[in-house]
Amino acid sequence: MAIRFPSPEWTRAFADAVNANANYAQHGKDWTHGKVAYVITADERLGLASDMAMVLDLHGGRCRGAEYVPGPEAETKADFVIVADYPRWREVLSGAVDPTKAMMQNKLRLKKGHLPTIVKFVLASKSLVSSATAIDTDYPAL
Amino acid sequence: MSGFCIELADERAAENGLCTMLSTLMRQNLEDHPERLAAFGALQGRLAIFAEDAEVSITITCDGRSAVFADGIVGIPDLTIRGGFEQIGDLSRMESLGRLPDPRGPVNQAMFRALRSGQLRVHGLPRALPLLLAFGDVMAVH
Repeated sequence: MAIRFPSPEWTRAFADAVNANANYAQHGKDWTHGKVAYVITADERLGLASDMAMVLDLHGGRCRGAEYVPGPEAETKADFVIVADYPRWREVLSGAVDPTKAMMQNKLRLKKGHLPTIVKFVLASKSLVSSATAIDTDYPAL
Repeated sequence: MSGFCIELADERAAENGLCTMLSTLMRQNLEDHPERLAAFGALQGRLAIFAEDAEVSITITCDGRSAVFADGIVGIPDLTIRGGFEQIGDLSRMESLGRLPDPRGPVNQAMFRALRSGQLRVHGLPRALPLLLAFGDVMAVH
């Protein structure tokens, strides 16, 4: 059964998908730079009254844990915070749009974090995002 | 030189993801590597970058003390780099041997292939070679 995005269940499934992704294990093996948060901005059409975030505890090519938390909480918990609205996340996490291209087009925005580190780990970032395509996802229509 | 000034030209530049990415990368690199201020001082001229498949272009105007990032192609560039978003995104990940590209590096090999195939084009050489080398030194993430 498809899992609704965004939700706590989808966040847990994302962590499992990351850990099942051999490409991420390879390209992310040297990642020791902290947690990464994907923030989905508030959208009444989705029932999101405020920003929500998935915080991934990434280390050494593994996801050690994942939480679905309010956006402001993610900004204190995570070392890297990437923000976008729901339609943009749907494009990126479904594999329709490359994350680097989305950042160049200002569809994804790095709100917090050290950009040179993100650039250095660009293959890990792409693998991380592509993990989501393995999840049977229910992306609500707007 | 003792400092540097990196700024976005206007509101349009602030909405251009490539402008915000590259200006942030430049600022954080110089904060992390003050020894690169010498290369920043050698950045003198107008550099245009066009990520064609992302339909995003920027112009960086440098005078050795400051770098101003603008949306679109502004004026007549001394150096123009045109290519796909992958190649543009990889410019900062090119491997170097001193100030020259390391031909053994996998990113460099992909760049050379892109240059040969015409996916990546650099206009303004050899006159703007010092500008290109200084830009590479300032932006590198290794």
